[in-house]
Formats: sequence, C-alpha cells, structure tokens
Amino acid sequence: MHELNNDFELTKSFLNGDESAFNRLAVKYHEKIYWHARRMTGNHLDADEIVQEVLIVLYNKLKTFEFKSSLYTWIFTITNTRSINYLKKKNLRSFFSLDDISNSKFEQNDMIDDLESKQKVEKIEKVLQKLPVKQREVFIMRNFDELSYEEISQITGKNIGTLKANHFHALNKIKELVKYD
Amino acid sequence: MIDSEEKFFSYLKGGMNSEKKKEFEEELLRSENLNKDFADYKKLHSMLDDVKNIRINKNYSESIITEFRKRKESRIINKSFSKTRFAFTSIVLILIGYFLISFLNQERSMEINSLLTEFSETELESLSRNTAYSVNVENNISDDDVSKIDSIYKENLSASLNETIEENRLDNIYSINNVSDIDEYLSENDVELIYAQLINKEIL
Repeated sequence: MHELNNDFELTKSFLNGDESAFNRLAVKYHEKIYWHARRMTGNHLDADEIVQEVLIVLYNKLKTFEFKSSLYTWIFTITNTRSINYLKKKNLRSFFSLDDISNSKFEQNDMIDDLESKQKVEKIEKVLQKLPVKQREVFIMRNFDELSYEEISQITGKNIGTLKANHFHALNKIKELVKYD
Repeated sequence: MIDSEEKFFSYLKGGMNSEKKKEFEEELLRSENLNKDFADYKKLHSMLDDVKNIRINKNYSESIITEFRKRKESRIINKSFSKTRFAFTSIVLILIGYFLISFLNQERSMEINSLLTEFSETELESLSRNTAYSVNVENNISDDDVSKIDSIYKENLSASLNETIEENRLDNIYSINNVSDIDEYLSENDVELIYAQLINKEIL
C-alpha cells in the first residue's frame, strides 16, 4: 500500500513539474524493466535499447495514467509490449538480412560483474530463447517477476486458462532443456 | 499437472496456509510421482532464484538515467529541427510552385503571341467582330425572335418528315389526339429517323 502511495505521489510530483520525481521512478523500476527485456530478447544491447524506449514512453504517457491498475503492472505492460515488438522487428530485419545477429549477442558491455553470475545468466537466457515468445513471456513473468496469473492476464490481455497452459508447456520444455544442457 | 505446478509454486513461495501446507506434504508422502515432480521443480526453481538475485552493475544502473536524459534532449532538438525542416521545405515547395506557374503562363502568352503573328490584321479584325456579333445577338435577342426561329425550324422539320415518312403513316400520326400515345403509331425506324432529322437541323 505504501508503495502504491509512493508511486502515486511520485507521479503526481512529476506531473506537477518535478523532474527528479521521474528520476526516482526510473531508478525504482529500471532494473525490473531491464531484466524483463533482457530475458525476453536474450542479450544486453537489445535490453538496453528497450529500457530507454520504455522510459521515454513512460515520460511521455505518464500524464495519461489514471491509477486504475498499479503503476508496476502498467510499466510491465509497456515493457512486455515493447520487448515483443522489438523481437518482431528484429526477426523481420534478420529475415531480410539487415542485421547481423551474431554482433548483438553478449557484446562487450555485458553489465554483470562476476563471471559465475554471467555464466548462470547466459545459461538461462540460452534456454529461454528456445521457447516460443508466448510461452517465454508467461514463464518470465511468473517465475522471475513473480506475477500472479491475474496480473499476467491484465498485462498480456490473454485469459488465465491460456496462460496456465502456456506456462505448463514452457516449464516442461525448460526442465528438459536444463537436464540435457 | 497444471494444478500440481501451482501447488509447487505456492508451497515454495509461502503462499499456503498451515493447513494447506500440511495437506500438500501428506500428498507428497503418498505419491512417489508427485514427489519426483516436486524435486525436479524445486531444483529448477532454485536455479531460477539464483539468476533472479543477480544485480546489474552500479555504473550501468546509474548510466541508464543519464542516457535517458541525453536521448530526451536530443529528441527535443530533433523535434524542433524537424519542425524547422518542415517549414523550410514548405517554403521551398511554394517558391518552386510559384516559379513553375509563372513559367507556364509565360509559355502560354508566347503561344498566343505566335498565333497573333500568324493572322493578318484584317483577319483578326473580322474574328473579333464575329465574336462581338454573336455575343451581341445572345444579349439582345427578344422572346418573339426566339419563337420565330423555332417556328422556322418546325416548318423545315415537318417538311423533311413529310418527304421521308409514308403518307398513310403520317395521316395516322396527325390523327393522334394525345401526344403521349405517339409511341403506339411509330416504329423504331420512324423514331430513329425523327432523331436523325432533328440532329440534321441542329436542334439537338
């Protein structure tokens, strides 16, 4: 409840012209945005781009947010939509050979400090990229972002039954992939 | 199976009350398969938890806001630049349009000049007199004159029809009281003929 009030107050201050309130919101949510985008796209550079896009959208559209849902859910909706759009664009570009995909994979600026963590992240990312996007998004939101099916349904616009089925398939696939990796 | 996953998730995340927790643990003891599934799930979950707790480094974290502010500024500059570019392009297009129209008009007046040089002075005078005459006739003709012209056309037309349509058929036509019944007495050829005559007389 305190968090909601805090988001509400920060949003209100920002809309009243306090730019630092937006910075505080960005600091609060940027890591969640980054990890969701990174798990969806499978690499740092794309995730970094999505974080910037989401912050720009947030900055421009915050005035239209009416607090009918939590700000957290709203930010996730934007992040998830942007990530999916980004993946679609990327697939299209790679189909027409406009992007060199190998260039964007695990580039020099990987933002994880120790090698062990880096390897763990890489392993999971590799597995996640083998899932279809529909299964990947629900798996990430359920297991990493710890959202309830109701929240995921609100974010993706899909019904809970479909989400559960997608998650179930994703989970089985991941179990298999982890076993043989 | 989907239900089991939900139970596993709820158990591990502390989402069960003590009664449900006890019930689930008893279920685990009873079913070997469920126990095995739960062990797999727990293993996967601890792996995911491990990854979940990894943080991004502080420098990058701080650079996100700086980068955002930089991009926002550059977007504002780009926006105002694109407005200027739009205004500039519009002005250039208007100027091009203006010069194009003046150029075309200049060409047309040159065409008129070349036409004028083709005619002699007397020809031009008679042309302008004819034009002035037809304009004058249109403006000054009275209703009586119009009906006179119509009657001349009518006479000529009936004379031509008399020549071309057989006499007995003409008698039939003249004997009609109601003009709207005329269709019954005329063949398709007759209608075509009448139209042809009208066209020849330049009424239509």
